[in-house]
Amino acid sequence: VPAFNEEGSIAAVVADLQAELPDTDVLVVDDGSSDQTAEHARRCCGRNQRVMVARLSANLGIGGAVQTGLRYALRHGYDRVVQVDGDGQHPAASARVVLQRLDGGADVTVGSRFAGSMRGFASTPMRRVGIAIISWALRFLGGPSVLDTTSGLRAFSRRAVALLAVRYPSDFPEPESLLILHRAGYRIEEVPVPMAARRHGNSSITRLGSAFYMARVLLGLALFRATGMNTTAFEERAP
Amino acid sequence: MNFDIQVVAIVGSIAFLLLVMNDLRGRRLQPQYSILWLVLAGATLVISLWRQGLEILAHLLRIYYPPAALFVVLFLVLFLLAHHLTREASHANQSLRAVIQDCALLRLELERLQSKTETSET
Repeated sequence: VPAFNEEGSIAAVVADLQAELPDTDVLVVDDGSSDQTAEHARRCCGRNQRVMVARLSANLGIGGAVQTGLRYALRHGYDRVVQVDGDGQHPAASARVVLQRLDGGADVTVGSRFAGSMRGFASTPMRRVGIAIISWALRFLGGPSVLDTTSGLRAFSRRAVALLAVRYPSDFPEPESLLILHRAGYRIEEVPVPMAARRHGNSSITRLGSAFYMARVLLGLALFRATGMNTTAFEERAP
Repeated sequence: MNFDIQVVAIVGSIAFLLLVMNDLRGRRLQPQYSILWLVLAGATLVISLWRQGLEILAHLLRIYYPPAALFVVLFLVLFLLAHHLTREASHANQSLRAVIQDCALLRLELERLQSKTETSET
């Protein structure tokens, strides 16, 4: 659960996950928050050993935070991992659905606001256009066919975790990570799930930032297509 | 170049050279950068002392107006330098990212070990 300044929602998110998936370890990655995110995450479940908080000493952005979780999962040999946003927009029930769909043999399942006939929070019209453009670009560059390209609700198989733990994009990582997985030959499946609007705090993507977001994502995708897998910034070993 | 501007250039170059040497003395620069800046400061000093040098350089580059040659060279050097520094910053960022992640994960392990030994002691 990547979380940056989510003290208003993080406790509820963790409690929700604990109730819905009691046999699952929950790792909150506090991405250098300046508020009480880590304390709230810890306090909500008392001495429950299944709830852990990793605090990053500086803000790395969503990519760095998610990668921290994936590296933890790889080090401790987890079979599957689900990524859930710390702002409360992903109900734990949806996380469970995404996780269970891995049983069908996919390496990655993406919780989608648009696939199927799901009703629920589906973002603003401007953002939907942006997400559609990224979706088109992803396919154009030989990536997977995914509608909700920026979804932060995804489940990963063990080998998908192993790949992304060592190679995860930094700034706006979701679409690019899908391309990485697809080019590595991993199967990606989109699962329709309901999502909610955030309850507290603000999105990390501002109106002005949207244009930059698009440019960064498209450049990242194109760059990956041009350079491929031959650059690795990390070394990480499974136990 | 008239006399006044030449004096300014010479004084400026020497001041810059002293600044770099002072940084060197305080070890505020990594060795490879101190060499780079020493060379650059030295080059500006040479050009401001030896006026003909600039004309020869311009002639070699087939540039009619000598100061323009100076601009060309300066632009090139500054561009390359800026590019190099951005690359260094990116690399440093990547390393920092790995270190911050490792630090967080190790701290988590430590906390868990500590709470485990606490519960086993009581």
